[in-house]
Amino acid sequence: MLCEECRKHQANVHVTQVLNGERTEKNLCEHCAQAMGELDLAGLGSGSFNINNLLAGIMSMEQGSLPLKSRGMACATCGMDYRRFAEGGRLGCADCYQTFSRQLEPLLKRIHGTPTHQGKLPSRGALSVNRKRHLSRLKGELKAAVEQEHFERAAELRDQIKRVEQEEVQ
Amino acid sequence: MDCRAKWVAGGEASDPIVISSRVRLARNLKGIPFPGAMSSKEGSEVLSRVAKLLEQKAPHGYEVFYMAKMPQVERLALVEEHLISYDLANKTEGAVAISRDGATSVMLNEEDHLRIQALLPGLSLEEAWQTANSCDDLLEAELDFAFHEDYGYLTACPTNVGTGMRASVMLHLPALVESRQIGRLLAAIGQFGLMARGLYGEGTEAKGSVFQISNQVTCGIAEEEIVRNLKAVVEQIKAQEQAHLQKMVAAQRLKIEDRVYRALGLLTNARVLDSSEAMVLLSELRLGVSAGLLSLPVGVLSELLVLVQPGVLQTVNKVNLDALERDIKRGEIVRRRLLEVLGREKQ
Repeated sequence: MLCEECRKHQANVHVTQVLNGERTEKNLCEHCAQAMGELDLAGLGSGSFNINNLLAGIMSMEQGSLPLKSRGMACATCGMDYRRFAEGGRLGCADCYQTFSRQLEPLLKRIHGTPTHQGKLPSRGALSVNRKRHLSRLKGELKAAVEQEHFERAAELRDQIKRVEQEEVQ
Repeated sequence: MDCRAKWVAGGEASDPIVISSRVRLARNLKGIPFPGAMSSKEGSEVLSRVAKLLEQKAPHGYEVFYMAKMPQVERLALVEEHLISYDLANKTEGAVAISRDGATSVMLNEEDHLRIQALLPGLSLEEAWQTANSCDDLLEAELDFAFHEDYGYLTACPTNVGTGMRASVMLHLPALVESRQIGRLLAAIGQFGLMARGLYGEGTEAKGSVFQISNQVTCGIAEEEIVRNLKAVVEQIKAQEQAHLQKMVAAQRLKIEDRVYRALGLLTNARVLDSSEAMVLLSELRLGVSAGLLSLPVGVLSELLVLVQPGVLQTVNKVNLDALERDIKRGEIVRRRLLEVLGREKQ
């Protein structure tokens, strides 16, 4: 087999590349393979691979399958419409996350796996988030304690959960 | 004539493979549209609110630079020192606050209102996270950031939502490039939720074998875990690079030694040195240090990596130079700095 690049030398290198889940295969001669290695890497740096282009690509794909109504949807706060977002890959304001939540949800899943924030919470105004997190952690522990038949620990946890829930009501 | 950024300043770096570590946090002010959709009045409001706060509150103090007031060559120098992005350099509403120690820079009105970044020499991701986090704490005490119960910190691009955190390391991997392992390795990185790109690439080649590896996923994973994952993968890559380097040296020591010392000969004698030649030769010296064939402080090599860039070259030396004049000046700087440290090494 001849090299797919130069079509002069015998192809003796088989290159399989998986980039963002997309698989490409090539049969190259040794010389071209080496050159390609460098070419590909430079390509990574200079825009052929660009996360925003990629994102815009995914979104315009999804746009095709959206009902007409949501294609024309616009954010009441900043005026950003879905078409513009799909083209540019950028939202206009914080409220866009609410406006386009139905369209964003599958996209966020695809990018991040689980689109539920873990980690740092803002020190201001995050009290309710903190409490919610705390509760769900306690409930998880309670379930585990019951399964492992650690009933004393389970009783402690049950009381703790009650206290936190009461605080929330107040 | 010195750089401002801590990852190069003072030649403190000591790791020949991991050049630098960076943690960046994206934040937006509540109630103001993201930079892409805000009015210029809103842009000025972001600048005045955040810049003032940083200048007054920060323990080390920050110096604020406004893009609109800076000559192009100085903006370019900040890009080359990795203190700002190329995008910010071209934004008239943009500004950057840089801490006096050069470790933290806060970009204002880039893609998000704030991009807090900490950049340190070597593999120091935990420290970079702590540095960026404490800057975030400081700002958060006074500012309300856009935050969503489920999605976390809200950002202009959904790829940054959640922690808003991008942690990255810059790696020098010549042995993996030469043994043609690099392509396979960079492709495998995707499976760990990481991404890689060549740095200093121009046209057809990735110059100087420098790569950047960063986390791709920002939501659903805590900051400390992002740091842990990246660090674990980087340590593996570092070990791979070392192993391949040792194999190379064992197989052809004389040839590699010859390459390294030829590079040193050129760099300590050349009268006209363009930046891509400088990058390639500096990479050879770094390889020599990494392989234990050459005794030179790594910090000087990191510093030169930045000092040879056209923007820094002109800013640090306070002159405007045409291409040939730059190549002459570059040769002079590299020669002088290397001879100086070599003299010290001999004593």
